[in-house]
Amino acid sequence: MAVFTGFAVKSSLDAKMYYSGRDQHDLVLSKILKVGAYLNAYEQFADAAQREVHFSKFKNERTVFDGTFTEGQKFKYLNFNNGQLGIPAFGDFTLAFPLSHFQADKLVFVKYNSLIRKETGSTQCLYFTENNESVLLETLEKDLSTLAECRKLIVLKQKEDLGSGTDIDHNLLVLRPFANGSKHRDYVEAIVWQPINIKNGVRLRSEKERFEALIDEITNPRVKLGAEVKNITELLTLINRYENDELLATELI
Amino acid sequence: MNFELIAATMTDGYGIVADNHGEVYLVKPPFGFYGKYHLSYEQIEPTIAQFGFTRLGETYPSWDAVFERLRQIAWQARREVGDTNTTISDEDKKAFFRSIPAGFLVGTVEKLESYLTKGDFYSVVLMGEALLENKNLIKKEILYAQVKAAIEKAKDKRQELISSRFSNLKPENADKKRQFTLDIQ
Repeated sequence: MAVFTGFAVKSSLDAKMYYSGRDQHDLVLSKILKVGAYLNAYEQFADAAQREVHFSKFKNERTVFDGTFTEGQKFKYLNFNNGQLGIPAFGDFTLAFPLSHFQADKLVFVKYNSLIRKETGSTQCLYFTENNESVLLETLEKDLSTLAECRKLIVLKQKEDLGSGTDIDHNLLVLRPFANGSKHRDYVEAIVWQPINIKNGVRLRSEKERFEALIDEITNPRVKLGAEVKNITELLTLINRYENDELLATELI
Repeated sequence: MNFELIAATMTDGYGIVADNHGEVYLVKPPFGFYGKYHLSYEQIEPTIAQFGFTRLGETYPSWDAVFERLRQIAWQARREVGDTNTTISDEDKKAFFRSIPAGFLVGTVEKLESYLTKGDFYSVVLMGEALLENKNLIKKEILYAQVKAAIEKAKDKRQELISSRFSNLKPENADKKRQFTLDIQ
């Protein structure tokens, strides 16, 4: 399961330069590594106004969703990546936690992500009542599974593909990072309400082509980069510390 | 066991720090393996005065905590200035290559070798020499040897290039008024 972070890097899809992921503003991965844990907005910010900035355009929906559940303020949202890279739109690095780090009774899988829109261009969320006023529990319930039932959920998610009899890449049933350019965000979401610490077994992944594109940009810059390079160097230095302590392993895929 | 952050530059997070033995160091980003310089007591005041340090006098329990504070200062400063600092110095590039984690090194060395094939000898030397100082690379004998070989090859090729440009040059025939400019990659 993964969280993401990003820096300015050339996309391997169209060779254009993107300020990818949220790290242009938030330094997501740096923050996680600085505290050694993945904290949600409530754990990071005591102040509601700061949380709203963090939730950005999803602030109303996220507040409603978290407010619906007893443990909602402990919720951490991840995506189930089945050993894969993650979603390029969210950044250049994936922090992947093994399932063994999670307690089965503090973990639930959602067929689509909890705030997914009903259709492209609409602001109506799939799991919400009209105008996103409250969570539509009947619909959401049908799309939830425990760890034990997770495989069935994935199969249900893509039964059309299975029915067509084509050769199926089972990883794509979980997460389709490359299907629709860098904006594709279709994934099986995992909601967790336990602490998530960086400890042995965590992997930090980057796509090989993308990391090499980053090296190209740094070696022979075509766009102006200054602070980004310093930020990423400091991030890599933090990563080194965890790697040396054997709390995480880095890999290019 | 206290570390004192005597002063810092609020624009880029350089720090003057006294460790728990009373030794004073000038430290600079990205911290960790590189960029820790010993300062004599006489150097402290002139350094503060000349290089725009702000006195802080904060105490921390460890180097890590000090670095944390300095990183925070640097990040904050960079966020405030937005993207106005848009130049990468060779030193920034080298710091990046020195900090590449172990698991990313195979891909990095492949990239280095691709620059050699492309004839970008300048990049091979700059990137390669920084990589030789990467603590993770030093632990990987084969990769380390590959980097060393790539640098040597790049330097040889560069030399060949220079020699070939001069091969037809006969000083006795040279037009004394003409200016030569060398364009060496």
